[in-house]
Amino acid sequence: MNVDGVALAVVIVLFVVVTVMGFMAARWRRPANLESLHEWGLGGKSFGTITTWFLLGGDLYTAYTFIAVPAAMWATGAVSGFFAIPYTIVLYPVIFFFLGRMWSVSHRHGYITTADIVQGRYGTRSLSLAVAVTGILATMPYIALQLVGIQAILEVLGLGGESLLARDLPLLIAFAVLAAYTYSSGLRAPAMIAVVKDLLIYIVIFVAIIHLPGLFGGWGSIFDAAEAKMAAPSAANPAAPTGVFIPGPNQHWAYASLALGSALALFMYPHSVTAALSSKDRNTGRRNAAILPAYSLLLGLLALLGYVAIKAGTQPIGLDGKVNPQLVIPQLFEDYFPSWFTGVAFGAIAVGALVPAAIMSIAAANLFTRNIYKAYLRPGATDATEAKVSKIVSLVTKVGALLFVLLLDKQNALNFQLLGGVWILQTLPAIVFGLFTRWFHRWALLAGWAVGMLYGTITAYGFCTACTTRPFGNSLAVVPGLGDAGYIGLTALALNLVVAVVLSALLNGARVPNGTDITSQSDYFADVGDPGVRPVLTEGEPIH
Amino acid sequence: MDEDAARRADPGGPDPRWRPSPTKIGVGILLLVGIVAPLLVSTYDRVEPRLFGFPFFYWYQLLWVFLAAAVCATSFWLLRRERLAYERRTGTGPSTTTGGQR
Repeated sequence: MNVDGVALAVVIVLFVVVTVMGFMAARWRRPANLESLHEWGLGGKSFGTITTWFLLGGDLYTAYTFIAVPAAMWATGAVSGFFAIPYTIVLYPVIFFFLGRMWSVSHRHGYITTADIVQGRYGTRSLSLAVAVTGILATMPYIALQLVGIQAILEVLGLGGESLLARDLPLLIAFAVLAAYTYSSGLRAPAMIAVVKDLLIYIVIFVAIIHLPGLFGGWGSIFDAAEAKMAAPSAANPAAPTGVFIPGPNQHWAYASLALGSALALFMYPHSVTAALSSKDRNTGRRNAAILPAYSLLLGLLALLGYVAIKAGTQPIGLDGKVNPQLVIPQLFEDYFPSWFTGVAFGAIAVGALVPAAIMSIAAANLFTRNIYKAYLRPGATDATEAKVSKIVSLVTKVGALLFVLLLDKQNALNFQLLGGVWILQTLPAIVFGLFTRWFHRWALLAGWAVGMLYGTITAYGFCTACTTRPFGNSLAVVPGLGDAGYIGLTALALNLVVAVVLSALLNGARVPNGTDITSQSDYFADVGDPGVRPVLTEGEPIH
Repeated sequence: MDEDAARRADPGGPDPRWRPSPTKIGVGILLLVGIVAPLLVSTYDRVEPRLFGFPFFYWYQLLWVFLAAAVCATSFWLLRRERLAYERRTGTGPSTTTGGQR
């Protein structure tokens, strides 16, 4: 495969522009110093509606999403791909319920992470540690996946070679740059870059969605081609069809539970919470719930490009000569657009990987610093020490993700990300229920979390039905008592809830102490300008 | 207004905003509809009627993108109205820092 020089040049130019922006971001609304987590890790909590929209959009709709969803549509159709649409639709009513309260209590008490919120509400270090560790473990493979997205772009550009160094050098450079500006600018860097990335992605997808269907006889014939492919016998198992065009009755729960479970899980991820807490007032998050669905439309159209690629007969062959569905969208662009536009598209996706990777590493680092380092190792750490530890840990997380991608099979990153989704969902009762009630008991929440984690991990490990890679290769398993397949994470959450409710009733009945709550009811409604809520907190109140 | 007075005297005590109000219950129902309806796969698992060549299954879900945005916007507006009424009643409220946007 030859290197596409023009496209590569455009990608490099975009990358350089973004790098300069990343370093300049440190001066954006520059505070007296960046040496606190509120500044480095939350951008001074100063982002308005528009910035938050770009930041959350760049954060939630990652480059990997833009590669993987159409790839899944191309390979096996609706249940594995298009569920992302209802997922990102029900997401917004879901977060509308708790985002306001989460913002208020965090700003009233200077919380930076979800584990901070849990610690403030229950005063129980083991419970907040469980939340923090789950968050860190679930985020690591997610960062690795962003690298897989960049790798797909580089592969279609024709970059590669026999030696390990030649193949991975571009990725190493991209990551070194990412690490450097995240270190110097903190959350301000991805916030600024997200604007460029999102605008590019919007342009690329709208051009693609208007231009491509006309080349292949319109949407009607594209859907017909997809329907024919999904109904044809599968190459791996001739007894079964290739995929699902429209879910049949026994697939309804799989489709709905994947959508609901993923929606409930997304705002338990540290990077989503970090982006949401960086907004400057209580209403910014909720206002964004009404305007973020614009990205869901984008994702829906992009997903359908997977069907366009079926009609176009795109052949996503990797440098190793094997079919790799994840190359399908880059290959489609490479085949049907001029080189310079392909370069813009690839640049948008590559930059799109850097934004969430930066936010995720910042969020994981904040969790470590606040809820492990400060809670257990150095209780007296100052704001400046916190910021320094976070900066170093964010570097370590990124290096870890890089090693993960370079040394292990790519499929592992994907599988562990699926498992991470199951895990992070188990922290929902501890994080969200506390915002509304103190009825749930801390030990019941901890026990529910443990049961959910255990069930989810064992099931994901052992019941890999429709996949060839073990362990953790599938997210669906037969739901006990229902008979149909459903999302493992949601089944685990149901068990988690049962345990939490039953044990709470017992423990409350036995009057077992339920920790010290340092929050008051009015904390959950506080807004900028209220007593005790400073627009920028210079010093958090101690929570430990 | 006794409860409001009590809250000002004791900021750590019960807050009237904690309790469900008719607006909050209404918003809760609206949001629940926005969560449950797009997940009822049996209501849209068919090809016909097509729209611009899109099978019903696909265009109906894309339509829900707009409906979800409308659900959230309506909820936002209802809650803001309730909050403003509360702030007028209690004399609390935002300082000038965000006045222009609210």
